[in-house]
Amino acid sequence: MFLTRRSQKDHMRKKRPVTTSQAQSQSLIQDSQMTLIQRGSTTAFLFLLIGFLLLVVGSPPSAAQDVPRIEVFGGYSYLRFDSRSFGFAGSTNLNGYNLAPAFNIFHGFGVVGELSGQYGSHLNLRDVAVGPQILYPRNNLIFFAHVMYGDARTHVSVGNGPGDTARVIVAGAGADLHYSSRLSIRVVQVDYLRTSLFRGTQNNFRISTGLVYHWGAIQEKKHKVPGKAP
Amino acid sequence: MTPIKQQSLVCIVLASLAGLAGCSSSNHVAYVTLGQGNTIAAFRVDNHSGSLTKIVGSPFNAGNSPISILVHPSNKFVYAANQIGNDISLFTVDQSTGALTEVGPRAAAGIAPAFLTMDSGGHFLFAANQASNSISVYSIDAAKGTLTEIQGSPFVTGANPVALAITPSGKFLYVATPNLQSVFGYSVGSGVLQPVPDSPALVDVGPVSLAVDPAGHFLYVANFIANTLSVLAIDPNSGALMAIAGSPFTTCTSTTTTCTNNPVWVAVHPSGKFVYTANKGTSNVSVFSIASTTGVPTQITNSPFATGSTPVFASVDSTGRFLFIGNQSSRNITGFSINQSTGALPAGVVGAATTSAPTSMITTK
Repeated sequence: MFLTRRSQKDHMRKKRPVTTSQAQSQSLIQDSQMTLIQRGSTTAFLFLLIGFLLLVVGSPPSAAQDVPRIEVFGGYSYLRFDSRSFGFAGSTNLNGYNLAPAFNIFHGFGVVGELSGQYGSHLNLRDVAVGPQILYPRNNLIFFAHVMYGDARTHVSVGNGPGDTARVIVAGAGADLHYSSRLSIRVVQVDYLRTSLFRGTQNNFRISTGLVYHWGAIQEKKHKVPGKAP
Repeated sequence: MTPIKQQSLVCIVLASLAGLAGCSSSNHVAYVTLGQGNTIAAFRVDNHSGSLTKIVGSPFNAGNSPISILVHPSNKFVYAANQIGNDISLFTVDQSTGALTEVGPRAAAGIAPAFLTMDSGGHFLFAANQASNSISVYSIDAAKGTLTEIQGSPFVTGANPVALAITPSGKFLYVATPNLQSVFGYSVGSGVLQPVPDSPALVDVGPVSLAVDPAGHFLYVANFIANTLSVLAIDPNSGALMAIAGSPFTTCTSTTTTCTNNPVWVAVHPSGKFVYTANKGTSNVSVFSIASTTGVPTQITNSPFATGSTPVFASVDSTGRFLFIGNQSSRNITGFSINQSTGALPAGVVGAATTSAPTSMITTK
């Protein structure tokens, strides 16, 4: 049975009761997120991941939930760039943006792309990638995971200012918190980026957060139970 | 998934990530002058493996034909003697990237400065001017690294000075003059050079490289044409030199019928236990163990060890764990791990290519 447009909005707006553990987990993630922005450190990254994982394992079993048909994420990103392969003394902290449109084909599967750039005093990194994503809704959260493949470009402000372009592989996951019929908050997205710039290999880690604008909805298919109406 | 299994998964993932976050090897930087290219190459040296990773942006522009390079003890400044430019360049070091940025103007030297050395405190820089037969002495500004030539500089020395060595105390400076088969010695008082007694000291044919042991007891001299290693005891009070019994010592092994090593560079291990000579004629490096009280060198088992083609310098890493050889014809750096007990150089060579022939090398602390 198809929902009308109004009933779809009503359905999306309906908020289920939030348990104490969920509220605590959500609060932990938000505090850790602010710490990460201020420090830009690996330790803060781990705190954020702790909160994310607690959210995953702590959430009760879900009921049926729609996922957006089309969504566009835009927000801030922090990248811990593996510049040791460049001959730097250690890794480099970069800050920038992440823009990711997605089209979900089925309830739990879609295609996502990204345009991302992070900048620092000695180098910057920009990448364009595309790949599949899977979705897992739980109450007012949608968990997702993706793998993308594309191109990365860097410019280094050292010496003659060399630059390079190479392939990038992105693998990551995150969670969106439903806010309204058109808007969600990307609570966290953590990604591993593997680049091969300047004939070396870099293992980079990125964290993003921001807003997701979406429209359309895909309902989860309900299985028929003998003797019961769907 | 049960709550217990969910928690276990979280712990495994976090432990893995914590391990990754805490895993980072310490390192330092090596700088190599490339005379023909008028540049300085920079490499990150891994403290555990000795592997050289080229720093992005390297090589960095330098003066005209850089031939000798030094790092200030603070690791903040690098100096390079420009042999054709007749001057000395000052570079500041970016501590996070290792990149060099030249600070002008360059300090004027004599004609064809060929070698630089500095006291361990980083107060004075000395330059051997090969074509003007003199030593230029500069005081160093600790904050900016700038060079100021001291009064009385340059100081006249023997003809064709090609190498310098200073004692760890900074009290005595020695100058190799191959034309005279001699080593000149000077006491250093606030940078001013005064000849030591019985200077110059006669060594062997073609002295081209000098090194002082960490205790300041002995001076080692590589004699290029004679294929020998001279060892001279240093008087701790006057700085006068006296050849030890048995000096000079051959750099070849007893099985060599015709010795054509042509040792072009001598280096002493920071422990004072080993001495290395880069042999240009035979493209290898000889390793000697040193008797602590007498200074007598004895070539170790399996020495010499093969290098690249026509080595021109030997640089012991600041950690004392690695030996790097600059090879002129093969245009690369050969790296060896040093056996800390025997001084041997096991196989498992790591290295790096350079865009032109390397002329000198230094590593930061």
